[in-house]
Amino acid sequence: MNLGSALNIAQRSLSNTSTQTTVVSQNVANAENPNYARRSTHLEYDSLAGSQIASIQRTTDSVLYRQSIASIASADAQSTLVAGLDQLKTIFGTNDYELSPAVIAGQLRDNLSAYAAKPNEPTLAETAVASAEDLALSLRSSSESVQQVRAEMDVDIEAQIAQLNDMLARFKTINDEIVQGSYGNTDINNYLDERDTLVKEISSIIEVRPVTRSGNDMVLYTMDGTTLFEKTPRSVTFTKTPAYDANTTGNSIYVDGVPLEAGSGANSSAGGSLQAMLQIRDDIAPMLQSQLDEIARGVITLFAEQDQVGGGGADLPGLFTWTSGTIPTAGTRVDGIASSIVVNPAVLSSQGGDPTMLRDGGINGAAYIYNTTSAASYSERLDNLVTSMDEPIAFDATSLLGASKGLINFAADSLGWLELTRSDATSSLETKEAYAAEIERTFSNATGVSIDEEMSLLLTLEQSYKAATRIISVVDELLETLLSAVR
Amino acid sequence: MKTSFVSSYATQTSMRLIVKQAQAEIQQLQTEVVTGRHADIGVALGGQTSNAVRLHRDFEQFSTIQDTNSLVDNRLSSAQAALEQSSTSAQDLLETLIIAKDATDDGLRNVAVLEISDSLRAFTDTGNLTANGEHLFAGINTDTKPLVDYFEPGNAAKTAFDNAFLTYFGFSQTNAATSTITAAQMTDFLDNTVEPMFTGTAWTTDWSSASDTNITSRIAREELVQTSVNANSDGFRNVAFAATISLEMMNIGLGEEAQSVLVDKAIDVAGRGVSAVDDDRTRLGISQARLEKANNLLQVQADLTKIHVSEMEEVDIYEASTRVNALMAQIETSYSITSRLQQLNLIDYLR
Repeated sequence: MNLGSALNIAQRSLSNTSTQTTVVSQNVANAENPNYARRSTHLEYDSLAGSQIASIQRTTDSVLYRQSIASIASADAQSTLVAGLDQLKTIFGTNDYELSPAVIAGQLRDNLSAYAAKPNEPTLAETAVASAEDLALSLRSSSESVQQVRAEMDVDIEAQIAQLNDMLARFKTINDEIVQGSYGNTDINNYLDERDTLVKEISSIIEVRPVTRSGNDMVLYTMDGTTLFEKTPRSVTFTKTPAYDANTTGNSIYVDGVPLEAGSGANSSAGGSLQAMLQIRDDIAPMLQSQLDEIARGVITLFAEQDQVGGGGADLPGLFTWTSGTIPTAGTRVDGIASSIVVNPAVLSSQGGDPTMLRDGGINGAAYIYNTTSAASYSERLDNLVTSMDEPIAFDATSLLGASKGLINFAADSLGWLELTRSDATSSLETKEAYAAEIERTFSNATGVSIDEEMSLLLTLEQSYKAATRIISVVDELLETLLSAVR
Repeated sequence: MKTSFVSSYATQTSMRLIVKQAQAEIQQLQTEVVTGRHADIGVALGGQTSNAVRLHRDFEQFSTIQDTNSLVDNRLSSAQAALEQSSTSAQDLLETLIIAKDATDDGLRNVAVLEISDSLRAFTDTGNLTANGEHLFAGINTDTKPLVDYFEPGNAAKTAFDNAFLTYFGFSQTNAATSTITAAQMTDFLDNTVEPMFTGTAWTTDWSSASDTNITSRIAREELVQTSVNANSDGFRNVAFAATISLEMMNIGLGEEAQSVLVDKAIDVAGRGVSAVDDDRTRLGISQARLEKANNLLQVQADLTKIHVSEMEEVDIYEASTRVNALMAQIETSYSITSRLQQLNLIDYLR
């Protein structure tokens, strides 16, 4: 032990203090950066140098980090789902559902019963036919909008997959730097911050499970176990379908050749927005379409004309018809029928038709005339039509709304189904967002910077710096004394 | 080493979610206070939305039926008023016939014939009355005048009677041979030749173009009632029968016995006519009573539906505005806590 080594140790201490101060200032600078993990310095004894040296460490909490990724993924998926459901609900109008088939079918019923009360009034026939046209239009435009939503989902999926592939490419660059840096003992902490941030961003598109291997190499798996990244990004591919109809099945998203599953349930199982968009596209929108198809089939069936002369003629479309011009089999859905339902031109005065055929029948020829005596106030057919709109008819049970129901009830239940899903999804979104915010706060508390702590650390450092300089000046004085004694 | 488990970032942003949620809720409550309904009914009601939509439709349906019921009411009252007139005409006819029974000279009989033609004219006119563009007694055939004008030249009913007379007796009413008609002949002629012309199918070709089917109207969701009577009913047939035979044969110089058979028959038929018209009035009266009941019931149903709908859809405005105040207080507290937290910083104390 000599004065020289005391001086060395004091110098070492100064150097350590300046490293620590650097870290403190870096921490302070990033105090408001949510993606920054606090750095701390550890003093270790270096036997070669014969003194303590400071090493920089990054605070991590892998459990909370995983939770944070999962909560972001499920909150983002849920918010995508809710946005999609909101879009589907808007198709039917505002709080009064004024554009929905349920409400317009009700108006048709009311107009028919007004006509039935005064069947000799041609303007009432026109009014009833006009509301029939509204109903056909509502069914057509609703199914068009539902398919439009599916097509838009495809556009969004394509954009997000491009974004995902970009992020994976960036992920490779950063991961490579980290692996190299780990072997080369350079400071990789900034890269680690950046990589963790990127994983969170990737998770908001597709939920991943990160696994860290030796040399800080990170592998990303999707939740079903498919590799998304290992050394190199795996291909995520998708082909957009340009136009949708009720019979179109959308293309799958392939991660490394494995199709990505769609989310399910109002409180969606989806992790990341891609699965939620698949859920809208392949589950919710097609179900809504199938219900619209059933409403359309029900409407065509209810207004069908029966053979009145006992000639055994088949029932044929009356007020409403569609491309095939037949009455579909009872209780069996016809996909896409809602897109082609129209009011029969035979009753449209704008197309040379006669609206009073609604009262008299005969749209399909003389054998289908109900009002055989051409009486002006014949109301039986109209009255039967009015009551039939509330009487149970057979529906396809795969449309989830029951197998036997009145038409207007079925249409109202379709709205109920959509709103039930939307209401559940919205309340789940609140829960998931609150959970994500809570996890983010906890995670930030565990790994973030507290300025107060840094400040108090700075006080310690100041003191230790003062002490070290004091030692140097004391040693200096001692040496001075020694030198002057020699002189 | 990390000694504290509070990060500055978390402290600064801890209020963020609270403020965000409170602001969103305030926005929603503002809408609710103004409209009195849930801001987003679908989210608030979930699966119950279908019920709300159904109730709205029910309410609309009740209003529609109430509207059409006023039309039905109008038809029923017009028909009732017209039938009252018909009844009066038939009554007049009957009275004239009773007086004419004792009339022995041609002059008095001629007066009776004139009065009877007036009664028949009045009866035909009321039978052809229209209300709201509909012939009241045409059944469902409302665009056609139900009864023919007997006095129109070439009228089918008159021609048919004249032919029947000629065929039966071999001479026309103006022939002097009418005095030779016996009481038995007259009875047979009236019962077996003339009566079927009024009770059988000839009525609908010669006299009436009304449909046998009466107008029915739905006056409640589950109730369909008859809201018209038609000119093919017994009342119309009998009055026309009585009027025709007395018009055509009262003053054609019949023998006393035959005259007496004729007038007795006419009185009998006219009497049946009066009571049949009154039966029709009763029938319509029953419908009117049912209509009134149905209207009362509809009003109750509509009111109840309205109450149900508002229970589902409406928000308590008082509660909503109180909640707005509470939320605003909460947000303000959050703000002031945030600003206090900003000041709570060691840096200010390190000098």
